[in-house]
Amino acid sequence: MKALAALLVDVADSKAVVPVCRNIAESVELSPAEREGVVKEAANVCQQLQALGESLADPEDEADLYRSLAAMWLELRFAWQRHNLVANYDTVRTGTCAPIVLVRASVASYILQRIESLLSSDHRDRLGDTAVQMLDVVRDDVEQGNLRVGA
Amino acid sequence: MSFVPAEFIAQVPSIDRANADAQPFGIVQVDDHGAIKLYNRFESEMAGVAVSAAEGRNFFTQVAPCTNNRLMFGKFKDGVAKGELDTEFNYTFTYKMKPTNVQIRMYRHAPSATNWVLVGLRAA
Repeated sequence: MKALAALLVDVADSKAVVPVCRNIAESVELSPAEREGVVKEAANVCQQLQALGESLADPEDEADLYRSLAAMWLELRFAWQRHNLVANYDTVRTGTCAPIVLVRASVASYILQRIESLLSSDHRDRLGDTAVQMLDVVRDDVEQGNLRVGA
Repeated sequence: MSFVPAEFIAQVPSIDRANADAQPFGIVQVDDHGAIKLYNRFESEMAGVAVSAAEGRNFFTQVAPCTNNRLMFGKFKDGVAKGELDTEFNYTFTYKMKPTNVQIRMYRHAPSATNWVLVGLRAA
């Protein structure tokens, strides 16, 4: 079995990731600059993942590497969630939304999908459920009128 | 005009799996908390989620986290609380897929107290 750091090299290989992200970017109407910007952002995330794998490559670092991948999965999940929220609130409010937001959401979820291939399904479910519960508690609190900004 | 034929709505709640799988739109039957009771083939293929991985889990928080907001889950909870839900609106799915424009209809059949989330593809 390959070590986690070696598996991460494949998962974060920009030669594999970038074409898919470009394809996503080409599925909606974007300006060339916007399209290249999104592709660059994806390549940058790959680079960060590669750097993580290089820095924590020793066998004794594996638990911390796994933990960092879980954190990265959450980061991307939250980023995707934010883009998704903007896209759908705009769609409901104005009938449309900026295509770049949709592409950013799809790209974030594509990369998180690649990372989750390195996480156990049990850990993935626990991370997802915990994140949902944590944020839903905060939202429920505000819905019940308990918003005290800065207090 | 709704993407859901009136004849389909008239058949709710007696829609079985075979009937659901024959429809050209997504069908998700959920209980009052959002747990999936029936997940049809169209929805499974569109979302890339196996039926076995979806049924029994919460639609809004676990299977389709893009719906965990006031626009969808909020409307659903309000509708269940009032015992009345029939709303249709445009939405976009992006989770683990290319941007996909859809129409959503959320419907509660009051006599049987069953809830249905119906998903149709729409042009951009």
